[in-house]
Amino acid sequence: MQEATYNREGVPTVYIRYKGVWDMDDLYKSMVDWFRERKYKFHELIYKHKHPSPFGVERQYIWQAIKKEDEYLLFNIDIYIHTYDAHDVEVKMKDGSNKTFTKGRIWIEFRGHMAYDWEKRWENSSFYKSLRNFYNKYVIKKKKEQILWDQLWYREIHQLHAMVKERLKMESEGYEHRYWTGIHR
Amino acid sequence: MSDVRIIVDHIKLDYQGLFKLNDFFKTIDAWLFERGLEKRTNKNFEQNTPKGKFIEWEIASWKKITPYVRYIYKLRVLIYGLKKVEVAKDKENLQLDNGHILIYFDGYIEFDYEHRWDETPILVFLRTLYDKFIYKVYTERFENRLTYDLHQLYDVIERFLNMYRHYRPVSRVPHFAGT
Repeated sequence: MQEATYNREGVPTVYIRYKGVWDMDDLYKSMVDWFRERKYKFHELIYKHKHPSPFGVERQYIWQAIKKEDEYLLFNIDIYIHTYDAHDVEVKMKDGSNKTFTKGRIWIEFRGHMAYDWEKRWENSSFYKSLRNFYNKYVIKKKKEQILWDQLWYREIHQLHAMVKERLKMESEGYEHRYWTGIHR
Repeated sequence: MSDVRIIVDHIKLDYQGLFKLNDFFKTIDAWLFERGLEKRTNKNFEQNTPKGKFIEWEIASWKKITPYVRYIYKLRVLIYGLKKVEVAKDKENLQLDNGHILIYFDGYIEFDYEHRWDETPILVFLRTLYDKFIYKVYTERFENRLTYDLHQLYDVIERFLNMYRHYRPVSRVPHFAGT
C-alpha cells in the first residue's frame, strides 16, 4: 500500500457544456489574460486539431497554470477544452461590422489542486517526510480547510468559471460566492 | 467509505411560464450563501435548440455541521424551450424568459466524512452502533433540520416564481391596456 503523503489536495471538478455560437478568439484571450493578470505561469500542453468531419472541426486544448503562492504552497489549475462540430460563422454586429464567430459545441473542465512543499525540501529523508506529514495533517489543518482551500475554490476556480460563463453569455452567469474569500485580493 | 444517507428524495417543482432566469439562479445562490453553504456546481450545460434553449444546472452544496456530519443539498434544474419575451408590467416593457422549469431537490447526510471510522471492519461496526443507538437523537435532529431547510428552499423558489404571475407577454396585452 502506498504511503499517504498529505502534500496534495484537490478541489472538485467543474464542467461547462455549451452549444451555440461563441467568440473563440475572445474566449481564448480572456482566459489567458485572466491567468496572466493573476501571475500564473501558463502552459498550453496540448493543442489538437482533428481532421474536419462533415459537421465541423474538432479541437482539443489542454492547459496548465501554476502559481507559487509562497515558498511552501502552490496552486495548480488544469483546463481541458474540447470543441466539437465547430465551424466559423459570419455575424453582423450592432455597429454594422462583420465578425467571425464559432458555431458548435464546447466542453470545458476545470480542475485544481494545491501542492505543498513544491520545492521538495522535506523529501530528503523519511524523518523529514514524517515531519512534513505531521505538519500538513495537524498543524496547518484548519488553515488548509478554511483559508487555502477556499482561496483556490472560490477565488480562483469559481472566478475563472464565472468569467468563462460571461464570455459565452450563458444564462447562469454571476455567482453569489464571489466575495467569499474577501473583496480585496 | 463514509456513510451517505438520502433523507429528502427527489422533491419535484414544475413550473411553466415567465421568469427571469438570471435572477432565478441568483436567488438560489443567495440562499446558499446566506446559510454559509459551500458551493459546488456539478453541471452547467446550455444548448441552443430550434425550440429554444435547453439548460441543465446541477449543484451539490454542502455544509459541515460537526466534524462527523455533513449535509449535502443537491438541486437539479432542467429548463426546456427557453425563449426571451417582452412583457408589460405597470405600463413598462421588460425582457423576461419564458420556458418550462423542472427542479429536483435531494438532501443527503454524510456521516464520518473525514473517513476516520472506516479503516477496519471493527471501526465500521462501532460507527454503526454509535449512529444507531448512542447518537440516535442527534441523527434524527439532523435529518429534521435538513428536511426543513430543503422545504424552505422549495418555498423560496416557489415564491420567486409566483412573482411572475402578474407579468403578461406583450403579445397578449390588450390594445387598451396602456390607456
